[in-house]
Amino acid sequence: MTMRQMTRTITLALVTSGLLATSALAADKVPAPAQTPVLRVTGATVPAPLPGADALAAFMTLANPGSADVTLIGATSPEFGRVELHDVVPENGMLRMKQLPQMTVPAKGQLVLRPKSTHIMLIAPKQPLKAGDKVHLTINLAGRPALSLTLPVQTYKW
Amino acid sequence: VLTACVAAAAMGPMPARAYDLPHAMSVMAAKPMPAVPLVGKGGKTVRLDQLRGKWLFIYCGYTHCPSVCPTDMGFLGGELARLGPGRRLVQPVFVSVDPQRDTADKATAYAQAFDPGFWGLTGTDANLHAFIKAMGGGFAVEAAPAADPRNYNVAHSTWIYVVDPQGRHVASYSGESPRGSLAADFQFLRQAVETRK
Repeated sequence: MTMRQMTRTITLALVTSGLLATSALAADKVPAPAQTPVLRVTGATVPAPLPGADALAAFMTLANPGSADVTLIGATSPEFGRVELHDVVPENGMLRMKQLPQMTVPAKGQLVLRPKSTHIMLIAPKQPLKAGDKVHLTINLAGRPALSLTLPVQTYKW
Repeated sequence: VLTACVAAAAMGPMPARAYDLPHAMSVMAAKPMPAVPLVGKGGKTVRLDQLRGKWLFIYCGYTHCPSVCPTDMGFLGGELARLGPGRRLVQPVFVSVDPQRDTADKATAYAQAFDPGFWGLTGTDANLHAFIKAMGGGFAVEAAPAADPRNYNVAHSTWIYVVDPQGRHVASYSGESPRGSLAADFQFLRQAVETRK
């Protein structure tokens, strides 16, 4: 993937309303087909930190209306020192968070990022966050333009 | 559900049922609590095994846990809210198994987001291992990245341990239990203990 492709990002103004993310095609290219859907993002949220807690998680549902799998290969956020793709796995009678090199949204399927399951972990916040703040998240995809999301930090019903 | 089953299997064979509890993952034959000192608010020593007169609902986790602990603590907070008048009979306890980053005061502030009556405890690494092992669980502090030594994860079991007012560990619940299940079982537990007096 070229740097140009990497930096050609898709902005979702309202991620929670389930808008289709589409390729931001350059003016010199013929848009064929127009408005190619990449991933539909719904329910994106960052639960507000609990007292004293500074490791946060991003949850959302990623739906893939296309006929090819879409693979998440990492994520970054200007508000955090480190962002990782995580799963929660049972091991020796314990639950362990495991960093994943990638996550796949299957063709015509979806990937749900939720508590006690796959999630995007937000580590080392640069500023303390609270309900009402926003988190800017760039999710890098294999062979496709990155997704740029703005997530609300919200009081969460755990 | 899978997670709960795996966790239950790791505890070994199910002991004889002391009480008829439809939702408990594991029921003990009134097992004494481990005689292990833990640390409470302001650095005060707390011996949970010496407490009498209240039921204890105990969860062991850590405040930096972004997904598992808040979910299970949210479940426990919901069960406490469902107890109604029975709530005053229960002392909820959150034990942080991450004493390097969590003080008892920090654990208390965290836990009280789920119920204002929570005690937050921690302890020495050795005492925490002794305590949680005797209760049927475990935890493992994982290596931190060299560039970021403060940000490490802690694998841990996710039981809610139920201790009766005589200081006996009588049952363990999974945080994956259906909402309302621990609160419903608590009625059976109270009846069983009151009948046996």
